[in-house]
Amino acid sequence: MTVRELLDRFERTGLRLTVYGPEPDAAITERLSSQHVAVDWQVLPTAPSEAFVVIRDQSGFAGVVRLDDLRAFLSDPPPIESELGPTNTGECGADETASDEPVQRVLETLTNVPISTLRRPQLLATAHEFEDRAYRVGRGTLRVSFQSLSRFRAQFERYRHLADDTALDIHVYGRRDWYPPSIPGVTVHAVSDDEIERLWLLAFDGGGDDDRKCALVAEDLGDDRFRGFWTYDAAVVDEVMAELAAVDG
Amino acid sequence: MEPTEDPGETSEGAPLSADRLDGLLRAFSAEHRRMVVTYLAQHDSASVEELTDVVVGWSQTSDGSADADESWLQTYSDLYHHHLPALADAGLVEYDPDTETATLESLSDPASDLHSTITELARVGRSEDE
Repeated sequence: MTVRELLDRFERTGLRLTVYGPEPDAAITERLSSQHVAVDWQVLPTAPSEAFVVIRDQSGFAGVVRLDDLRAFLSDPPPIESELGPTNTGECGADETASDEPVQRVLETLTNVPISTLRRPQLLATAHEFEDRAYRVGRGTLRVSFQSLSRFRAQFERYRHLADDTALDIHVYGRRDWYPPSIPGVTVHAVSDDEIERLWLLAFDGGGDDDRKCALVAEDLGDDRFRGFWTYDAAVVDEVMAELAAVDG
Repeated sequence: MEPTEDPGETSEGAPLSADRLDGLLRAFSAEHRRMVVTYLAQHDSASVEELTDVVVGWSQTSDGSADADESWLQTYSDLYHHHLPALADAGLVEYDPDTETATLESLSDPASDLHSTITELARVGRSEDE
């Protein structure tokens, strides 16, 4: 599973899910309906654990998942409490307790929802929430792809704080169009992979705690428009982590 | 071989002829055909597309095979050209390739029992293989 495939899996317009199983699951139907995903249910006398969900979009069959997997996938993320703060000014002391509630509400509401009209500020806000989370956990691995290293420049002070104040193992990826000063705890990877260059990725392994994992995946469509999603699903985060780690070569 | 009797006329508990039994066993020998019958038993009628979704979804989530797109098209083709005509030949399904619709004929008790038994045996066999 590559990041591109992940994006394709999420990026589906006209998404329609059909649950095939022995009995309807009101919770999952409501959850998906609230995200404007059409869901219907067809009786199939399988064991409950064998129930599955067929995903269709405008072009037809798009995939299938076990209902159990989808249920786990859509389980509510843990509450977000900001400490690092949402700004990119480098003010990220631990005493900063003001949280950006609208950002958090949006993030929680739209978790796992593919969005094809993301803009850089929304992605930046999301990235900052996830960096906050990494900051709070204070350990583990954080991998971030900024497309080009010059974009990392605007975040450089923020990441210096992140590295100074924590035991995080931070890996930054991007096309080599800027030479960042070295920071202990931050490894910079210059990439020449076209696909990685189009992607804005952030993945935090939660310091090994599945409940604290998070990831952001977005593809630059040009004109400062992105398609992407963010997720707290440990399995998806692991996929994004692995994809970025593989870039190490 | 054409079925020699109308399955709708098979009375409850009536013994199957040897030919009829052979025909049913052949029809139920393919897992995808059993899946189709299982689904139609709940829904009476379905499009080939819908049946393909069911067969592909059920197969992939139970054995985890990959390459969804390819197997969807392949499965669709197999159902359309092979499995649904076979079920129709066995008198189990009324199949219209033009409208791409399959409708379950009323199953005789022996046919229904045979389907349940084979499905269950296959399920148990699969779980023992794991």
